[in-house]
Amino acid sequence: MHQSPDDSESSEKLSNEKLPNEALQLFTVAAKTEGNRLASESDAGEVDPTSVDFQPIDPRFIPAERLAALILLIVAVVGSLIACGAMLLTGTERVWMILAASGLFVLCLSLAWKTVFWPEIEYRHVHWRLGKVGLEIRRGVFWKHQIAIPWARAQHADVSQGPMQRIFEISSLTIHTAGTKNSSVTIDGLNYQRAIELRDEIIRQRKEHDVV
Amino acid sequence: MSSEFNDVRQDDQSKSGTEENPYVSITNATHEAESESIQDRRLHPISLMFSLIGQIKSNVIPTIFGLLGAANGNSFYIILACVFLIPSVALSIVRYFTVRYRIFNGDLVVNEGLIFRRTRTVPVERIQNIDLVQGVLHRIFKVAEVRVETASGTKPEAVLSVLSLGQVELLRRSVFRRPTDGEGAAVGTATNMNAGGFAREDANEACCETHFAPDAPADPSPDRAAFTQVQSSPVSQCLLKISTGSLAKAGFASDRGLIMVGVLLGVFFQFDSRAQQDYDFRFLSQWIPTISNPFVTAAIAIGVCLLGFLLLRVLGVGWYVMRFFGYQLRLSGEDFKISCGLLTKVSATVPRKRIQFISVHSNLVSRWLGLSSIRIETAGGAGTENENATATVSRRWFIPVIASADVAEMIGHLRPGVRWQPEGYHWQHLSDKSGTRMARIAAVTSSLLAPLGYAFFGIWGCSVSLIALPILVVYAIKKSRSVKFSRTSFGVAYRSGILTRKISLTFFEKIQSAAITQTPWDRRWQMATLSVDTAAAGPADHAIEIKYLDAEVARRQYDQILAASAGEPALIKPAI
Repeated sequence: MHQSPDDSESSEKLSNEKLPNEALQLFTVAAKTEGNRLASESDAGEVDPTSVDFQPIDPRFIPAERLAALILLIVAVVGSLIACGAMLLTGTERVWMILAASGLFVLCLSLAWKTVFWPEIEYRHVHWRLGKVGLEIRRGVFWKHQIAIPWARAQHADVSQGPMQRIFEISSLTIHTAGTKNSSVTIDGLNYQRAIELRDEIIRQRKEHDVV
Repeated sequence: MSSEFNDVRQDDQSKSGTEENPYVSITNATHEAESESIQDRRLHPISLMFSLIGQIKSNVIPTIFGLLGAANGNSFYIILACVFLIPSVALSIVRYFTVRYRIFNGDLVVNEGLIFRRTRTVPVERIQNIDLVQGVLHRIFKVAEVRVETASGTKPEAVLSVLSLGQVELLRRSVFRRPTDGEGAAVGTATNMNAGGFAREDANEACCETHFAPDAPADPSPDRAAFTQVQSSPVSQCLLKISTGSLAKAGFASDRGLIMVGVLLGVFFQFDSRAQQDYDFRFLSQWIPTISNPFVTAAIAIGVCLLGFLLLRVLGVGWYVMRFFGYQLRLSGEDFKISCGLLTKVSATVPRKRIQFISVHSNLVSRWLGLSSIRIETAGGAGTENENATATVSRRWFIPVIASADVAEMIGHLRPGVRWQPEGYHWQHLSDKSGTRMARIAAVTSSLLAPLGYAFFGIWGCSVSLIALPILVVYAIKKSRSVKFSRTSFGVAYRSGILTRKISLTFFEKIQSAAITQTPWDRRWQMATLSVDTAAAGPADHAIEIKYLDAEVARRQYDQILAASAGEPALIKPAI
């Protein structure tokens, strides 16, 4: 990085002397862009790693989650209805029946809450950004996690799509590192197109480095 | 890429060809040292014997049945044993004839199987280390079990059991004699590159560590001498030899004896037939001879305790001496070579640039004796659960014992450019409130002991919690003060431990990811957990996960660690 100003100067000298016009143009353009880059960096002084803002995931994550939770809710409701019916038919003692029924009711109620409200809360707490250092993910409502994978450390990246996700054109992006505890990191609810682009970008960046 | 690659390697080979290795030329006259690729090769013929022994070991029960049957003249048991044994013996024979390995086009290719063929291709650049294990039998036949490790998972990528030492040397040479600049961009730091300037010209013969040299034993057997000769390559330099005396000291200081007792007890209860019938401990008092004099009883009790303690220590010493007898660490080019072991001899190669993590441990006793041990983590063969011989030596106990004064120099060898001055680092403490918080947790824990005590011992049992309270609180406060971390010019340093003190270093370009976690309680205390993930973390038993940091400090450090490990030096602000 320290040598680059010298490089651009020498290249300009070279081009002025004997290179043909086209090459000269190319060289000067390259030198200028290099200069601009350097200038912008030196202007900022110390570059802030938080230069790119965090972005939310695809809002269609909410209906997709709701649908998934709804299916679970329906299963739970049907199951508890069957259970209550069975208890009525077999003539279980009243105390136990009331206890069991109220337990099932609370379960269904909480599942209903999860279906209606939870996806939106979860959605509000997931953010990601593709910053200067690499990919950063922030998530968690009560237990908050923030994790970052530097560009060079991504070993490979997968995009996967479940049937529910396919309906809403969203997908999950999983990035694998050579690490131990966080050896794979997943973001759910990215726009499918976006996820593919992200994956390609990560792979492209990764090619320039070796990791372990 | 590949042509350039081969050229350089051939060049390298012709250089080393001038210095002829007598061992290779004697045992494997047919091997041509010039060839950069190894042709199809089989395992050493003696493998048949070893795999048979292995099969019999893993089929102990049918074998015993067979022998019993033979003794009783009962042919049924013999047939039963044959049913179990013959297929496995046949399998091992088939395996011997089908396993082939070769190095071709920069890949190590291992073929095996007759019906289900399996071909495993490991790119040579991805090989992290090639380790050898030699039991007593292996040493008699001058062969070794070879484990080829890559960065993946917990198991060795390929196990070649067994190869002759000459074949091993050839394999090692073709794997590790690769151009180092091919991967220079990979790890791409200035610190890694100045190794050439760093290498010292002296000290090929005289082993450097003066603290251990005087009573270092001479190589006891010609066998060993031959072995070390195979090991040595033109530029190798001996970094450390550990004398048996130092090993004994380390064994005395370690708590290894306790673990050994556990293992021994396990073995005892498994094999002793009387143990199956449950000892009746209620009549324990009958075993103890009745002595009326209380002083004599006390003296005997103290004596027994002392004896037990000594026995533990002796066991520890035994383990250290068995494992690390004749320990030698050499630096050959850019690879570290360790060899040690009394009965089972291990020889491991650890490429310098694969070292991800360096950890210096010293417990209370070894601090009194001025000793430490150095552990490393390389990207190969992670996992703490299976502590096999090579992993034990090459990672968990990279250097089982070293004078604390020499640690700095040794770390300079392990990673040139790293400055080891734990007192000089800018240590960052945990949050000021961490002591309070941990003490509160301790108080809650000890109050939970009260009902437990009550359940077992009645009302007096509650006193357990009163006794535990001050101990736990003091421990918590001490612990909160003992944990420190520092961001240095090369990476992250982390220190913890009250009795067993551990100081670990990792390096920015080895950091795979960084994370901050906040639990709901953390948020109430405005704290956070900062963790740094490296490849194959675990063997050193000191993962960097720093709890109870001030949330703001954690965030700032997180940003800076990330910036540095993403290779953006402009982003690094000085530690505050």
